[in-house]
Order: sequence, then structure tokens, then C-alpha cells
Amino acid sequence: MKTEAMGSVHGTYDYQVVRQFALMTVVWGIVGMLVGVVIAAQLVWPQLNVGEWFHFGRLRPLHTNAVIFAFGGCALMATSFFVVQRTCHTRLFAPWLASFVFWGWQLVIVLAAITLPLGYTSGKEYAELEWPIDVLITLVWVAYAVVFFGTIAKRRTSHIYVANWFYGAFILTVAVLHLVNSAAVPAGFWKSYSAYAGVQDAMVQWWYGHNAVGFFLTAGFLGMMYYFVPKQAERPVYSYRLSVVHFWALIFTYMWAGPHHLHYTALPDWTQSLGMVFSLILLAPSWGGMINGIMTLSGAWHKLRTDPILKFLITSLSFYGMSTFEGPMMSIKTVNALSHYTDWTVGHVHSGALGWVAMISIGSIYYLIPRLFGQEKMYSIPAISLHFWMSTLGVVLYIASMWIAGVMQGLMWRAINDDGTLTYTFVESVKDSYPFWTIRFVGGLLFLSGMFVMAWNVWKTIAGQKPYNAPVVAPAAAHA
Amino acid sequence: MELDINMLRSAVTVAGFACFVAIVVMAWRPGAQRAHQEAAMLPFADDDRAHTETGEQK
Repeated sequence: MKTEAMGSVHGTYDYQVVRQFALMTVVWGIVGMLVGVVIAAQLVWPQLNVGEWFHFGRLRPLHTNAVIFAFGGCALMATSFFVVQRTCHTRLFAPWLASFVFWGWQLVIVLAAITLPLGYTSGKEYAELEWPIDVLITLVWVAYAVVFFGTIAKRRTSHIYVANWFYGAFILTVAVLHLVNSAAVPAGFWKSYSAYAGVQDAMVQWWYGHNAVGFFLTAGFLGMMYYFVPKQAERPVYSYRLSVVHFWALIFTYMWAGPHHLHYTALPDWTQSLGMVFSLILLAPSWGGMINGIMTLSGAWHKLRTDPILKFLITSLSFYGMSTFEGPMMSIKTVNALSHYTDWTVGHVHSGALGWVAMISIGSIYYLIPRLFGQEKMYSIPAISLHFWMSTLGVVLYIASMWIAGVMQGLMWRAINDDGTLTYTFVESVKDSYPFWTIRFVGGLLFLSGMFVMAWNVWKTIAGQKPYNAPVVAPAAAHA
Repeated sequence: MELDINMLRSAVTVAGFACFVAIVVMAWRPGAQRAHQEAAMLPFADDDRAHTETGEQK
């Protein structure tokens, strides 16, 4: 289609699945963040905890699953299917299987949205879904891997571009993490018991949990960075060899960092210290990657003034740098003694999740949408700018309030009178947290409102437009 | 020195580190520059702006 005048064309790219995932990224972003705003409101106004189904304890895992696996997952699948085709100059391997990945993944999300409020949970953080859904995830994930690596196998370029290395590592590692951590003995259709016991179960859980951060929420999105930042800045990545070392350093190091979630627990001391040391080492590859992304703009800094998509991408890297400095710092045992179990952790997570993951996804989706519908650009560039400032202000309000609340809680919990009794009761720290929880609610609401601006802009861009599939051009025909 | 599971664990760790050092050396050897430059240009090897009905770029 539409390719008569092009030379050396071999059909068109499979954009259908990219379109589906890209649009659902916006939809699930709104749903997931809406649930987040609801539970933030429940903390400020406890009377909003209506009935057992809509109680904080049931909705909180729904929020985390929706933003990580529905919003983040759709963004990763949309961009990876786009990037792997464009950089390998070939159509997807087994497009019908890619279609199964889309519908299967949507089914997983819908099942999560039903079972979690009903209280079906395996109780493992970020892996709450019960075993029948886990089996479905496995099937979808294997299909995802087959399509992605199949496409790489039939590439028409000699190199595998670095973005695909990151996407590939994300797909492989999440498969391993999911299989190991979800191993369980079923006790009925919606109930199971973990295959591991005691502190080993905890260690397996946080080996999974931290690598979910490292590979689902980092490696995959770094793949996004290595494609969309150069494309939007219209210049190649700052240092390709740094990207190679960045990749392997990240892969070698992340696997060991999980124990920092279990400081001062029954986990052996040496394991805790090992986790801490590797978390500190992680600063190097994280900042190497961030610098590589930001420096890609060197010589083109002026583009930041006028291009709000680039603002999203580069600001996301700043938040990535901030949270990957904060993370190693918080993994130091003595710092962790203050920060653990407080809102500081919640702020840290959202600095990464909203500032890094959401903002790089939003920038990438703004890049994709016009290209998937034969348009030159988004309907409204000022609306992207408005979205950018709403998001940035929202994240800043969120993390600043959580820092203050977290440090305050940590200090109050450890304060001891001369006679050895606790200075504050727990409920006093709760009472003093209310103002900050209110600010957090406002920040989250602002971020969510920005997503509605995006949805409007996307709708105006694609309404009445025909889906567009770009022609596949042989790499030799590439213009210099 | 006894060959047990812990020796194996240490050996794998050391091998992993040696492997990483090798990767760094490979990435920084002068001969790799050309291949890296080529690879870095891959996202620009085709233009993904939308095309009009006749195949011209908008």
C-alpha cells in the first residue's frame, strides 16, 4: 500500500499491533493512575474506603499491577515491536502470534482488574496474580519472546542495534523471574502456596521484585531511550561503545541487588551486605546510561526549548539519574534503617515510576502516534507542552512531599526518651503525615490530569485518520 | 583444595568478572570504532516519517 514510488520495497511493516498497544498504553495509563489517585485520596480521607472490594488493601495491588504491567507493559510492547522492525528492516516474525500477545496481555490485565479487588492474591508484591493468570502470562510471554527474537533472527542488517539488546534482556529476564518467583502449589483454582518457605521465599520474592525494577522498569525503557532519544534529537547516540558496556554492566550487576529490600530481617547478614554493595556498584552503569542518553543532545540543546517531546525524554533521564542515585544511597544499611517502611520509599519508587518510566513512555508514544496514522505530528504541540509541565509539577509535588513525610516518620519511629520509652506513638506519625499525603494526592491528580490532556490530543490526532503502515525499505536503500 | 559447590560458585563469579573485563576491552579496542559508528546510525538508516499516497515524504 502507498508504496508505488519507493525503491526496493518489501511490503509494509506490521504496525497494527504497535497501534493497538500504543493506544492501550494511554488507556491503561489513565486507569492505573486513576486507581493510584483514588488510593492516595483514601489515605487522606479514610471514609473513602467503601466496602471490602474498594478498600485500600485491595486497590493498592490493582494500582501497581495496572501501572507497571498494563501501562508500562503496553508501552514496552508497542515500542519494542516498532523498534525491532525498524532497526532490523524487516516485518515482524509471525504477526498472528503478535496479535495473540496483544489480546492475551489485555486478558491478563482484565483478569487482574477482576481478581485483585475480589481479594484473590498470592501475596507477593508485584506478583500478586494467582496461578491460573500466571500460566496465561507465561504463554503470552513465550509468544512475545518468539515474535521478538524471531524478528531479530530474520533481520536484514548485520548489527543488532543496542535498543534491541535492552528489549531482549528485558524479555528474557522477566521470563526467568516470573517462572521462578511464581512457582507455587495450587490449593484450588484461586489459591496457591509458594514453592519456597521462610526467608528463602522472601529472598526469591525480592530477587524477583528488584529485578522487576531492573529489567521490566529499567532495561526495557532503556531500549526506548536508545531509540527514541536519538530519533527525536536527530543525532546518533553519544557513545555506542559506552552503550555496550552500559548494557553488560547493568546485566551483571542488577541480579545481585535484591537483598537490600530485606535489610535487618532474618536474611543472613552477609547476604544483606552483598545486596548493599552491588546496589552501590549499580550507580555506575545507571549513570553511564543516563549520561549517554542526555549527552546525545550535545550540540542540539536548543531543541529542548521548542520540542516538548524531547523535553519529556530528557527530563525522564534526569529523573532516572536522580532515582538511581537515591536508590543506592537508600540501600546503605544505616540509611535504610531510617528510610525503610516509610513514605520515603514510596517517593523513591514514584521518582522512578512517574519521572522516568512514565515520562519516557509518554514521549515515545507522542513520537509513535502520528507515524502510525500517516500524520506528520501530533494534533496540538502546545498540548504536549502543557502535559509536560503538568507531569513535571505533579512528580515534584509527589516526591518532595514523600521525602518530608518519610524522613519525619523515620525520625519519629526511632525517637526514644531518656528512660528508653518511645517518644511518639505510631498514630502520632500517621496524624502528622496528613498534610504531606494531601500534597501527594494533589501531585498525583496533576499527573493524571496530564494523561487526560494526552488522551484528548491523541484522539484529535487519529480521529478520522486511516491506519498507516510504512513500507519496508532494504537497508542498502538507506539514504546517507 | 576441595572441589565443592562453593568452589564452583566462586569460579563462576570470577569467570563472570573476567567476561565483563573482556567485554570492556572489546568495546574500547580501536578496531571496534567503525562497527560501532555503523551500528549507531541504524535508527537513521530509514526514515519513518509518514508518506503521501504517491510515496513522497510529507
